[in-house]
Amino acid sequence: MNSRLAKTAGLTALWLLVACFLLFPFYYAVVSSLRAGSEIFEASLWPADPGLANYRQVMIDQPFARNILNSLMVACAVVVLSLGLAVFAAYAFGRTRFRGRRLLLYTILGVSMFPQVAVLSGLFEIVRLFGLYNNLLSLIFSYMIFTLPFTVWVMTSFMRELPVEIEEAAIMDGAGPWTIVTRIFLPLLAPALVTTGLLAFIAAWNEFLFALSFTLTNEQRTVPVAIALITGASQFELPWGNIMAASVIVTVPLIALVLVFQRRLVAGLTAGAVKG
Amino acid sequence: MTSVTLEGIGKSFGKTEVISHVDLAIESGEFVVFVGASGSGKSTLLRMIAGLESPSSGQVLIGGRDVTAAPPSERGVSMVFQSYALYPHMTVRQNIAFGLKLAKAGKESIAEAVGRVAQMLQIENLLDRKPSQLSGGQRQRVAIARAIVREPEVFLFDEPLSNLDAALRTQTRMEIKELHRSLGATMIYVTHDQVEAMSLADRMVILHRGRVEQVGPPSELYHRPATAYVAAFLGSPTMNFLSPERIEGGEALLASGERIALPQGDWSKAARIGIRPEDIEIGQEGLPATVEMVEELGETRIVHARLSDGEELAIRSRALTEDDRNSQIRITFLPERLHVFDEDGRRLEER
Ligand SMILES: Nc1ncnc2c1ncn2[C@@H]1O[C@H](COP(=O)(O)OP(=O)(O)OP(=O)(O)O)[C@@H](O)[C@H]1O
Ligand SMILES: [Mg+2]
Repeated sequence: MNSRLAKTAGLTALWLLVACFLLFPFYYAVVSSLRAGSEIFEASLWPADPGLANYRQVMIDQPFARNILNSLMVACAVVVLSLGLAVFAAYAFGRTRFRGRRLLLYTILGVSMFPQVAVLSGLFEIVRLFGLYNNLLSLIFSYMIFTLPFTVWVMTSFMRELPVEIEEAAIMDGAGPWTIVTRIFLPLLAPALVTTGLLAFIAAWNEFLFALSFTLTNEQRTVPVAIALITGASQFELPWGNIMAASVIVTVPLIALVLVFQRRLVAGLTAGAVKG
Repeated sequence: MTSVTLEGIGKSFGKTEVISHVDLAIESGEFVVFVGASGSGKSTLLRMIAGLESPSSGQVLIGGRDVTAAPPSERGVSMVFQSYALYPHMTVRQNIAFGLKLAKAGKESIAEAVGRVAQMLQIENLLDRKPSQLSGGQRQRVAIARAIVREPEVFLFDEPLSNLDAALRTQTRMEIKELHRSLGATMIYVTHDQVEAMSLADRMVILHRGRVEQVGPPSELYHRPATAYVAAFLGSPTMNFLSPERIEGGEALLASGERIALPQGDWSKAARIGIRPEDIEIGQEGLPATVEMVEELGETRIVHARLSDGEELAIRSRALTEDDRNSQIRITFLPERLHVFDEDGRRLEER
């Protein structure tokens, strides 16, 4: 009895430790964002005089709302495009046989292994060629380089797990390809779509290097770049309060998303483990 | 009601020929069962009738109409799959109604049709469940309900009972037979279980390596198998085969010097003689044999005996028990129950 209590206590302590370790940076960002002026450099765990001044400053002094909108548009476009393409690609890879299928599949995987810097200059040329410099389209286009490989791979493996007979039953019921994709595949792949979509969203939302390289003006920047380039009143002052406030603002949507899709997310991560 | 005709059907996957030149005429309202060993092409043949696979050669006619190029939905057939293939994200009701909805049937007629088949298959209380909340037997019923709700003229079943336990299998088998009687539709059924095949079939089609080995009513196939393959395929334990040294004056001469009386006929080409385990009698005279083992099956026993030339025989008999191991017995074959096959395994007819 006693040892069981000790075990529970030990486990709880471990949990708390892990939770603190994971949450402390975010907590500290929240706290710092609430501090005013020079108080930022105090190491206390709670600000003496919490206020929203930093938030006000970020939104007014910078086109930060615009930056958030940019990020949202880019991330959403990337998610929709990569999921849409991935479903059809997965249908091809998972359901049909054609020459060079494996080669193509591994090429797609290989592409995702290039470090971003390696493709940066080449991509820059392409972006310039299409006249997309300082345009959000360049970001949407370039982000798909890293979102498509994993969405295609994940969707393909999910598609392979769906029994062919379900599809054939639908054919016997008189369903055409469009009906099969929309009424059978999409509902069955929903958990996988949510999971991969969320991962793609986070990747696009957080991306920094391409966003920094392909945009020029503050109006076209996405959030991570905007935060990095927040400047203070003089060049000798680093506006930590503003940066922290901005960081909190961009983290909240992600947390909200994960919470909203939490149940689906778990279903997606474990789907296929048990037959339905 | 509709007939199904296969004319010179062949199917190759790449270079491997899986079905070669199958001709088959299935009459309207008939219950035909395809049987054969695993890989003999039963499913492939069925899928070509369904339209899920297109034949490499030949034609499929349903109701006299050439449907070789027609998509499955235009053939008036429906299919029950081995894995049931229910739509996991839909309730039982939606599963059954899916085909009707796609056919743009009215709301009321859909509800009426679903209610009717649900009652027929006794699944009314399951209509609002998802397939994952059903047992194997219940899923099977839903799959059958989904197949019959559109009132097709031809039903195709691909090993629909193989995932059920033995008791349920026997019960569902009878229900399918009853269903056939009440619907009067043409049914084509694939199984590798010969008991299931014999109990259901009006006519059985035995497939062997993509060819039709024999077509006929179960009792004919059992009692007058056209080839040695069919003879060995049907019956459990399988038919005993003896290879005589030569034929002499209406008797087969075994290597041991023993003689077996044959019925009237021209046996000059005889290469193998078959006799079923239940057609061998243990008695006071006949061929000497040694009992090697006795299997208890409840309603009968299987005696495994060895002839003096080393050939092994299975005999269905209640006369011996496990205590008779290693004892000497004498056996006789009923001449009119002997099956004689030539070099190529073809049946030689008595006269
Ligand atoms: N899509 C395919 N591509 C290549 N070969 C195939 C394909 N489908 C079936 N085959 C081959 O065709 C042969 C017959 O297969 P089929 O599924 O018709 O056998 P079956 O009689 O239904 O066997 P089982 O009792 O195991 O279901 C097998 O040798 C199989 O390997
Ligand atoms: Mg099969």
